[in-house]
Amino acid sequence: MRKWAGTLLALWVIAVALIVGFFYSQGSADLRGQDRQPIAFSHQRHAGELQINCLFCHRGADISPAASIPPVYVCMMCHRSLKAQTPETQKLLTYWNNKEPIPWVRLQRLPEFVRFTHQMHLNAGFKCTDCHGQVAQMTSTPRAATFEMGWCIRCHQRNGASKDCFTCHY
Amino acid sequence: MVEYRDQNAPPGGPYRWGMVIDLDRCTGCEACVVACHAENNIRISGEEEASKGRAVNWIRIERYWEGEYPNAQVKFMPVLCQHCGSAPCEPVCPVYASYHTPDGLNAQVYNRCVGVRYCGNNCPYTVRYFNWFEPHWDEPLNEQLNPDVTVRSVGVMEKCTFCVQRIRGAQQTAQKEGRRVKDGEVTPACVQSCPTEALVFGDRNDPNSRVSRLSKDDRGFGLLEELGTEPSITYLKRIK
Amino acid sequence: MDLKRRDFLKVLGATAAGSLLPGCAGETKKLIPYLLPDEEIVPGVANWYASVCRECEAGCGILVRVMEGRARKVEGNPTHPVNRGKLCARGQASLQGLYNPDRLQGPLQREGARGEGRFKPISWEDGMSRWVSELEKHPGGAVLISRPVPGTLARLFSTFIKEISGRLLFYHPSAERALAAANHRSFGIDLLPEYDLANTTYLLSFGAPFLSDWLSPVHYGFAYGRMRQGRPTVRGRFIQVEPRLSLTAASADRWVPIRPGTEGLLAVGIGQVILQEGRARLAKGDRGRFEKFYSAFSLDQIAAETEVPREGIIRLARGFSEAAAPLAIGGGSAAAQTNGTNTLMAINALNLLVGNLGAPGGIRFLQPVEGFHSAQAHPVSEQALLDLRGFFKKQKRSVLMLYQSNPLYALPSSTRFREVFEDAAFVVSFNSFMDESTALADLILPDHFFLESWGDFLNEGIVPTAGLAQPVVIPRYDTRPVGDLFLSVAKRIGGRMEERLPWIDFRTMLREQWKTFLARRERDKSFEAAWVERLQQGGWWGPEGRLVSVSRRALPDAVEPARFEGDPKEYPFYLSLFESMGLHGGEGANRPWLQELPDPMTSVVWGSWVEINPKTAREYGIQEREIVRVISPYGEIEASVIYFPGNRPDLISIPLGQGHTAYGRYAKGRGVNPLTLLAPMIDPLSGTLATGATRVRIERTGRRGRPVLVDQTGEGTRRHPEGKKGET
Repeated sequence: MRKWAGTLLALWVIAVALIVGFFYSQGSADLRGQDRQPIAFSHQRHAGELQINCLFCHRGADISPAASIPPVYVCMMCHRSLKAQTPETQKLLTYWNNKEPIPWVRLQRLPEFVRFTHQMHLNAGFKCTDCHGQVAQMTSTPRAATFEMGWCIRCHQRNGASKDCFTCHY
Repeated sequence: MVEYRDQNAPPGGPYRWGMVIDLDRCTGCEACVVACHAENNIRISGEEEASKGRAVNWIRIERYWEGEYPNAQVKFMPVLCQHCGSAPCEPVCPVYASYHTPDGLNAQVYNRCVGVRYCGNNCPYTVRYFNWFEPHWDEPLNEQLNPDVTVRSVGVMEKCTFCVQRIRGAQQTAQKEGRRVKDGEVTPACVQSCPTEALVFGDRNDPNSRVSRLSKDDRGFGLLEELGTEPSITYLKRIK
Repeated sequence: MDLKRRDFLKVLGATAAGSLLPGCAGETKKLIPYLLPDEEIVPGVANWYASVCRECEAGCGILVRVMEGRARKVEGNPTHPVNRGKLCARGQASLQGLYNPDRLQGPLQREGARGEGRFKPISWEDGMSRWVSELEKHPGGAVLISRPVPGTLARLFSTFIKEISGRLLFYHPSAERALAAANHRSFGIDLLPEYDLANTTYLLSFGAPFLSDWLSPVHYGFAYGRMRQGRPTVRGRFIQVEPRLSLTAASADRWVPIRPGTEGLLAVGIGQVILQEGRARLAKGDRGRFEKFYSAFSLDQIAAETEVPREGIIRLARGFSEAAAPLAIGGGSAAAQTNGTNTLMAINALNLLVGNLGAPGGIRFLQPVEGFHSAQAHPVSEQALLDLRGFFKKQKRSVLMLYQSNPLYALPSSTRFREVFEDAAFVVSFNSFMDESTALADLILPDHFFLESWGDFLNEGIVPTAGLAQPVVIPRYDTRPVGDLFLSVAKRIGGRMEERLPWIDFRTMLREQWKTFLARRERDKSFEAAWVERLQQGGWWGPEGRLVSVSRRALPDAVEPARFEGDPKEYPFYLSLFESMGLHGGEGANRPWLQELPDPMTSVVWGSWVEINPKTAREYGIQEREIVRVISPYGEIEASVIYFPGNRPDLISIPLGQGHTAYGRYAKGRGVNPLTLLAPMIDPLSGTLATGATRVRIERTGRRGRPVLVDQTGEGTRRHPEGKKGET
């Protein structure tokens, strides 16, 4: 009986660890967000086929810590002159006509105690794809990297950038 | 395009940030105190917590009363983290949350801190503050919070950073232009607000900076320097 | 955890309203981009807007750091001649006014009896109609009590009130009316002076709290720093004469604890010695007059009255007259007596004796910025407010309007100013907070906060400037600019009123004023270009202002002893009320940063206290922190005792600013308002309330209080014997 109890306890611990671990990995990779976007926007279509520069939409990337999400207005710069509409572009028009912002679900996230600036990294000669992957070939955009500290540090090390904690944590 | 990769290694060698506080100018007006609260997302403690000694002031005005009426006198002294060159708080941290940066700052890494408070106990200046509770702002007071600074959560130690967010901002600008940060280009919030210009901030590795020149003044001394802490702040004695 | 830093960066302000979802975990997972990009706004990058601080009456230039549509930090405007990039604690805390959780969020109408404190929201249309119909019902009975708003708003108010034959009173408790009255009488000038502290070598201050709350504290703080350490070989000497060792006195080289109300006599004594020792630098024509005046006093008698020994007076006189650039200033406690104006005139006379008018390190009167003639806002004295009691009794049916003014808190209850509210047929408040006076209003039409408003500020006294204020954030609530309200009523009234106030809104009126003004100043630029430039810079200031010549060199008519209310046998103590560093006269009490700002002298936060000389306290057997009852012929208060070695043994001092019965969650019901102790004593020459003219006694309660001291050792005014430094 006691032997059984020990095994059960061990199994229980493992099960809990697996469940927690599963949710943790899910959370950290933000995979859940994939099909939750209000509009099925495709980077492959825009950045790939149409070859729109990243900075055309993410205008803050080279001048601000935040790359920024484009305002609906930026979408409409092209979409207002499109003749054919799909169900998805109809959704965009609805937001525009209702003067509502699009509630995109965030996929790329860093913990709040990290100070990251896009501007610095672009100024240092990095390309968007270095961290975000070949977005031009993705219909949806999962994290291309873990965005965990080890990953940051390895790159900082390779490139001779500061490895001081107080560079990113304050 | 940046001209050098490590912002802490500019041409001409590293920075060593420091401050001079002229007690002959300080009037105890506390503009620095509120400026610091506004800049660094310092929580509001409230009467109850303050009465337990849990109020947070990264910079505070100490007062020293001397003599009896009619010869009573008060002297003020702004006290903040001295960013010691040999900091008593650093070696006692079991997780290296408290450590020294290459540019002479005594840093507290919040995400590393486990809240043992050894550093606070070992600090002779009592300028380290523990978060005894989760910070809270009655809405919409939180809309003022500075997005460049982490809101510290319950259980971690916090202290003056010399407004590192401003230093890093200035360093990045300088890095982009391939030069060093110029004297006076970066000022912590307390220095910026000080009406009497009692506080001066700058690079102590630059012999021509105002800080370097002022710290050679005959009136200069380091707070509790006899402990061997090698503070980065030079006080200039009040004349009386 | 409400808001995380990353959320700030990633979650961007929604829609044209610029307001943001208050970040709670669920919502911040969504990224809300701007609907329309604002060319100026890059998320994550701060924009800076120039404006004018309105937290006190100094009018410092400010720069506000705005990110994602929200104001994050206020800094001094480095180019502004008043504060040169510096800013005080109160200015820093203006953000907690803007984002105060207890701001009035829209128009309200009284429910139930007046003063019951029940209000219900109404629409702006209904609110405006009610206000207009009350104005029309009571022609000639309208009274507007406004905080001094020197600039376009003052012009709007005065034009409007004149057209409806009403009364306009600009009032602020810290307006230093006695100083204005004294300068008028001494020099024939109706301007506040600029004291050139930076170049002074010997500053003799009679009670002027210029390092905490007097006139323009940041301006004088800046000058003080230069006076002490700004010159390579000269360090200005500084003597402070006052009964209580104030924050300002703490910085002095010497503190002279004088008997309250005798400051003028001391000034006369000093003047007498200067004349007798032949050190006066007087014009020939003045000498005889001055000698006659000063010879009427006996130095020994002055020494006895002031309790400053004869040798001390002589030493002060020599130090002052031998200095290269001496300067005497007076205010604060010296002006807070029934003889305040004469005292200040006697102090002015010291400056005449050493001939420092217009000299470096002396007193200068500068011509205000010209071109805004009709926009002055001279503050009135307390007496003028009290005269309203008779007016309201006679009128019976009057409309009382309040703009950024809280007279019910600022005036002692003994003045019976409440009668004005009781006799008024209708009370309208435009205030942003539910303060004591607004709580008695029938209708509340809240103004925008100053950081949400257009405006300008003419700095008359210190340095001639015309500050220009623009909204730095989009108004948060359903409030409306008070200027727009008055202009729209002008339209409804029509006729001559509309002719004189034809502008569609206040911004247009402001622009029009500046158009005329800038047309003369910047001829080579188009108005649009000049306007944008002024907005960016935060106003207009020219080169050093022109000096106004002094037409009169008068001596006080009399230097009579101050009068006090209360028999010295029954009420053995003098009373000194002082403005605390953060709260000032009480306006700062609803800002948590200021409530939690330790009093520099005692380290007390979040409450009131009573300061007593430790020796006196021990005589009464009063322990530190014990609750003591302070009783005057007019009222009593209870608060904890802090031993204060900087008080005369016959002086009780209490900070102002607490004891609100309204004014939001941080202020209401906290501490005591010592103004309730005061007798309605007035300095007759200036009409100023003499806050130092009431005597008090103290009683033990035996109860122990709980004042919160944030000093590291919890001792506050603790002693540090020689040779023992640092923490004990």
